[in-house]
Amino acid sequence: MPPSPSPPRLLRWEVLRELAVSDFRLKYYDSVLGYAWSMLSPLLMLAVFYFVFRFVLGVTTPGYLVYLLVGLVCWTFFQDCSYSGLTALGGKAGVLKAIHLPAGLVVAAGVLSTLITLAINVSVLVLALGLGGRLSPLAPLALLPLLCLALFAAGVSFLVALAGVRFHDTSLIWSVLLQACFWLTPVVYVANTGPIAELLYLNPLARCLYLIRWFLLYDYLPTLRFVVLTVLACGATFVAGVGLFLRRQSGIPEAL
Amino acid sequence: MIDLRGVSKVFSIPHQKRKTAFDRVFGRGHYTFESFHALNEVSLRVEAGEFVGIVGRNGCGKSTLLRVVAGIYPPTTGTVRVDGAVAPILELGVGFNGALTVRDNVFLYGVLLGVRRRRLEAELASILDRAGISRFEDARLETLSTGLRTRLAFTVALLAEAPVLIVDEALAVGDEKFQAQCLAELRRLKDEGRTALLVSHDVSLLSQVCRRLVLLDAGTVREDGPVEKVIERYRSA
Repeated sequence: MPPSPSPPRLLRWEVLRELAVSDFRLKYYDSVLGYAWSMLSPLLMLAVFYFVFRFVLGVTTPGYLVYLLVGLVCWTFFQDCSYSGLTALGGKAGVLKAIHLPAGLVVAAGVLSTLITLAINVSVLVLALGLGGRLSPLAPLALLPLLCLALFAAGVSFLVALAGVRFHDTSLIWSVLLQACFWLTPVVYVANTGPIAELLYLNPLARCLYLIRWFLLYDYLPTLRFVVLTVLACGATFVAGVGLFLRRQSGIPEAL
Repeated sequence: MIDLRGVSKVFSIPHQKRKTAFDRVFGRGHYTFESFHALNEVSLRVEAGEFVGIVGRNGCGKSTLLRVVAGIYPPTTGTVRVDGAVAPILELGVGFNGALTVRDNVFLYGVLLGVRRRRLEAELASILDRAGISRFEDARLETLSTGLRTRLAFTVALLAEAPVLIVDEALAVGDEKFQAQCLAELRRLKDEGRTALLVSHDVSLLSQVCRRLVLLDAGTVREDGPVEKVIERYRSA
């Protein structure tokens, strides 16, 4: 039996919105460029990776610049989203110890805040692709893999948040795992065929990137099997992450 | 109404540092713990419309009791029943962020305490006026003094519509004038028929709004009754 009634659904939404919007505002607090930083960060990475891969390593893949940009925008979101999960509970420990608030709302607010950034970045990206004549007519279908990416990142964010409460070295371990994940996901390089590619595409994040690029840049459809398996893998990650978190969330305030 | 039956809260205190993944994986079996009974078989019933004060020495379990009632900590054993939503005023301004404006903080803190955003928008001018900071609506909260921030937090906290209030040492903050204002507000809430559990070390302040006090000692209810009787026992303990 719960000691006191949980906040009504409408109020939960208001709490989620207030926390997400304040997180988003605080991210760019006191920065000269404000929200533009959210786009500038992947653009700076783009310049470095494009220089290294095009001119140092001699990559000649047609349309590599756009391929790289889409990959970096999506990767930056995944990275920010997982870090938001890692820091959300610790940052709101005082609130969780003083107000009866489901801890999941705090993590969800962090996810929502990074989703706002993703929405801005993808809008700018689509606009740029459209103006440059590089946008595929199938572009609206990219919403499906973008949703899959959001579900996957949210699921990971909840898992990392839970691990962060139990183990104080999670942030160190996660930064190493993120580095490994970055290089094992085709973010900055192309891997479409061959046994290595098949292995790489077992990773749901790699599958999302593949589909987002496909729908945004190419005008023919990927196999239905690939799409269905991607949706299932991302959905399963979300359910596992959120489900596990909800089972453990009642003990979080005293563990913080 | 608040009804606690045989409520215990036990914290497991480790003797060694055990917070890393490395410790968990490689230190299994090498760690020892002891149980700390913050609350021990506490049974307490607060009727609707009643204001009850909780007193006791530091570490006697007062704050844990309030957190269990507020639903923040689940009880280890026993049952807790609260009729209606709870507004926990355990730490004034706990959701505040100095980098946000005063207006944004009113919305954030208010919503966290269960006040609807629409109401906060409608009453913003009146909230700021009562807190005496009307001119600072667009200022960053960090530019206000601690006293002004506390005043703002208390003004927002009093908007909570929940029928049950949980107040931890909120009466101890601020100057005499502010404390008098707090007491007046608490009396108004009592007249409205709200229920409250109040924790304070200042028994004279508690006696102004409560007719009944509960003395906690080492997680156990030592005395529960009229204010004078409990104060006498508290002072002689």
